[in-house]
Amino acid sequence: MIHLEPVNQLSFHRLLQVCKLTYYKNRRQWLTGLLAASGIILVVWVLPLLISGFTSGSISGPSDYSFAMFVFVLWGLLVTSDIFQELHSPATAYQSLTLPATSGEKFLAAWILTFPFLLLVFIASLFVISLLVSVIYGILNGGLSFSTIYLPFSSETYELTTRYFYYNSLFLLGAILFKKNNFLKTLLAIITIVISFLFLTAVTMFIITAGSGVDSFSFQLDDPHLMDTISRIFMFVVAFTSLLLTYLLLKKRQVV
Amino acid sequence: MVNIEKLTFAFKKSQPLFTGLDMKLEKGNTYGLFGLNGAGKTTLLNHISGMLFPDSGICTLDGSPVRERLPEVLSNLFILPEQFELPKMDALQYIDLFGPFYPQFDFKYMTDTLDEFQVEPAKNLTELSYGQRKKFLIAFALASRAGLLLMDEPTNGLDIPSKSQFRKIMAATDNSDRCVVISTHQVRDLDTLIDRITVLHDGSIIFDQTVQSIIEKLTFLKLETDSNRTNIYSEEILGGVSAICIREEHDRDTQIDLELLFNGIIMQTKNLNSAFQNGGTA
Repeated sequence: MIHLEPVNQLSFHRLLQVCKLTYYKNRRQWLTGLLAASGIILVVWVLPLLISGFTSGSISGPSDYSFAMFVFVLWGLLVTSDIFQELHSPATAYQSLTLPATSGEKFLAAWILTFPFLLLVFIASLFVISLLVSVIYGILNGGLSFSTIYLPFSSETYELTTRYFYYNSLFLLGAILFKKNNFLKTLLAIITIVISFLFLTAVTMFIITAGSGVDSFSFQLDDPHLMDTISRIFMFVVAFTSLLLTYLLLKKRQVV
Repeated sequence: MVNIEKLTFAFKKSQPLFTGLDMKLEKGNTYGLFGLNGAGKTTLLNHISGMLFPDSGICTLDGSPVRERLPEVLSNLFILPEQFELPKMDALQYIDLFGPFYPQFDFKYMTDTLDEFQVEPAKNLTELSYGQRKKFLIAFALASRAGLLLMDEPTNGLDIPSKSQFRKIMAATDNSDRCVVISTHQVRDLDTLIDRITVLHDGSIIFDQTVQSIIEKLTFLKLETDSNRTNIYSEEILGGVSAICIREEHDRDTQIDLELLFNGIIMQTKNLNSAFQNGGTA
């Protein structure tokens, strides 16, 4: 058996052990979710073939991966919401709170497993499922076509990565903040914050424009990329703030 | 080893549990932590293990504040909670995953203790009975070789043979370099293991003496109802009273009646403590 040095600084070996520990504790649940998500995607992609009675030669497989990405992201966020579940019960909290690792390592392990690790699983699964579907369609169409296979190094993957990074950080915060039904509560919190933000913006605009004789107010940017850049910067600021808050809450966590 | 200074804590602001609690725990001792229900024994253990933070005051282990939960501190303590759940994995997997965090973890001791406790290492931990799971965690706690071992009601849920195995294992374990705190209501299960008795009542430590000093200062007697012997505390039993008396020169060593002593401490705190302060005059 290996023995980890109980140093108070961040230790790579200990971080790996915390990752391994967290993975082993959750792996059955995660695998079930992954199989369910893959099953749903497979059914939806093969559905046109089933409807056409296995006859349509024009159907060549999926060309749009947004549905599959949505399903995987949903599964990832459900996993993320549950990652700190043991901290919310006195019967299990001791395992994490008294585990001889730094709060930073415990936080990093949760983030590594729910973001880069799950993202790799998404991409690999998407590739395998799309390959499988292409083979099925190819056999039925009398010739293999790999044009519909999901390519891991594509703009879609980049989009998936950035969006999942953003949502993952929010749901990671929700995982430590809420005791039960973390996924739904986080979703509700996000919706409430967005609605409140829009409402406040509308009220502010109304106050600014009231009495000035201006009937409408429009905001336009000449550079179409600028709005995208601003929203991405905003997204990343919110994500990093959420991650920082998650770490701080984990550090201050007590048995309840 | 453990130093608690002016610890103040309240779950509700209007009902403080500890108000300026001071306590010291030394290496080489096995403390019996006793108290009525709601006295705060579990809360105190949670504070010592860094799972709860005091409102004010400090709790340190070898000079480091436990609330910082530094790996160096956490690798030197292990808490066995009264209510606990174990992850869905077999014992060997658990050992493989959690053991490396404790630098002195003794794998051979662990397997030997599991063998003694008749716990199958290949079985999934969630499939074990509560008693079996408790025995597994006791074995892990001892095998961790942590310097501070906190046990909350360790014999709760154990059957009679298991309690006896637990006593046997604890007695055979070398605790000279370790501090063990056992919080329990089941005093009869553990009276042979404890070498220091600490009683928590109304948010403070009202009694803290070694078993040796109790034997030297007090005697536990069964007296006739009309006996002239002065006692500090007594309880009626069939045909007389069971009493705690100041030990006199001609008295022989008696076994400590922990239940009687505990009741005596709660009812006659001042008188019992004064027996240890002024050479035995109650």
